[in-house]
Amino acid sequence: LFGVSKSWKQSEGSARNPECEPERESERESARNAAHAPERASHSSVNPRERERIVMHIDMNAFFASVEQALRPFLRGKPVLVAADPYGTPKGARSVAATASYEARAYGVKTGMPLFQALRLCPTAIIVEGDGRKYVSIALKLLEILESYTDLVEPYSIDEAFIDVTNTVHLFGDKVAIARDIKRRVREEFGITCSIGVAPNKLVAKMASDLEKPDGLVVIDRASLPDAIWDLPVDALIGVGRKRTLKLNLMGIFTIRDLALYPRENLRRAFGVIGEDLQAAAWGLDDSPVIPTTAIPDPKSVSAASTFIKDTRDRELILSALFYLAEKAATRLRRHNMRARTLGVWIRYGDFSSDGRSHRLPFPIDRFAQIWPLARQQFESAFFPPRKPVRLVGVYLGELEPAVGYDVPLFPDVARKDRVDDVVSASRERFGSRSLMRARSMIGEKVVMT
Amino acid sequence: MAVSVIEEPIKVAAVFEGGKLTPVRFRWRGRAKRVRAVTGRWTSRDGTDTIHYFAIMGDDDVYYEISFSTQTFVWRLEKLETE
Repeated sequence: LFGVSKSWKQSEGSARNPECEPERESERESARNAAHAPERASHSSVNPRERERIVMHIDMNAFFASVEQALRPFLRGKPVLVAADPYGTPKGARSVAATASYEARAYGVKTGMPLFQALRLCPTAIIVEGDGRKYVSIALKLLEILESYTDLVEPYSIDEAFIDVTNTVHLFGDKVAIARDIKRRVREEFGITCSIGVAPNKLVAKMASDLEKPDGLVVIDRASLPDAIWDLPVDALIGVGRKRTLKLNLMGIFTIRDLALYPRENLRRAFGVIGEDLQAAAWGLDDSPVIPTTAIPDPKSVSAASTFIKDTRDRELILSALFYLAEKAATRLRRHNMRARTLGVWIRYGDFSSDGRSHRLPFPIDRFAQIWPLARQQFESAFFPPRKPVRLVGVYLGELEPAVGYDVPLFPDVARKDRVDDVVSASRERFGSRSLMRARSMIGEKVVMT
Repeated sequence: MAVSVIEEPIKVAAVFEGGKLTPVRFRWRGRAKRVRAVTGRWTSRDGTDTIHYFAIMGDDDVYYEISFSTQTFVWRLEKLETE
């Protein structure tokens, strides 16, 4: 996946501040004893009889771009942007950089940046059309490597995973040996690099892997917490995004230390119960387990959305996209054998303002024939005629529950539609999402990006 | 740098070794090419078919992507890239 193997970086103990100054130590102790420190912090004090968990976060560096550079020697050492359908519109007008190689990042290009903007920053960048099947195949092989160390492997995204080796570490030497071995195998087998964070929990492991990129290995053990993370900006915490960072900054919280030492009551007032969770995270506390794929619970909701290549007010085009999305959401729902009690639609206009409607249903639904008319009715009554050109539409199905039992259709027509749904779902499972499509959803086929 | 989509059947000599299938040379449009390096491999499903893809550098300094269908036993040259 990722072409060039860079210098090996490793920092044992604390990652950013390995030298634990006395002032900081006393500060930590007094803070830990302070009334506003989270109660869970006192529970985290090391109990010698309690074995420290060993969790790793493996993050493939610039995954898609690195895969392309590893496979295609002509791309190595050059700025590369991987994008979906970059040639679907003139100069990929609406496409975004799914990944940028490190050479492109040096110019300030970021993942998710619109291509036209990325090209403005890095005019020499080579645009490569992404190949999802290729990346999925390689990601699955990567998971196989991880599963050779433990059965507790949790894919976090296509290019990230958590593993828990607490119970298997003795079979492979120690945690650093495992991490090094993973890095070696990834490099040898795929020609790419990964960054690994090793810590007592998922939260800190992910932060550790972010500290050294690309090709890093950072170990943070319990003894070095929370100092190891306190000097980092507050947005380094999982769950602290742009909006939350802004709010925290306005409260005078800029580093994780600021958050850890902030009066808990004030955080609770500002963020509700989340405030306490944020503070616990700032102390490096997280007891969430690594959940292997086989134990991943059913989804709480499913949704599908599409962006138009060009903002539009065209009624037929918008309805065609909505039709396609209702079908897609229905297929996803049936794949999980679930039914929905809430149906929602949403819209985003060309100026990026958004609006949405959702409705609780008197009975749960899972059939396209039920979902589509309701979605259409809701959409038409709320958003037609559109007051501004439309950029994106979406369908949401929530409050999911298992589709237990079997409703016997009383009318032949309903039974026939049910069978059509079954055939469509089965075909898509086996041959792909576009193997069988209703004609109406193909009206927008050439103009809808999915 | 130019990418050409080819999608034509080709004749391939390959070895099965160490649990892996590895192309070593191929003939396309009457011209023989040697595989200098396999830079990567991946698989994909197409209905009931499993297709093995190989990223290779030829001895002519051209990058090729070739595929092998386990259902039809047909090798294809998918695309090539020159510097």
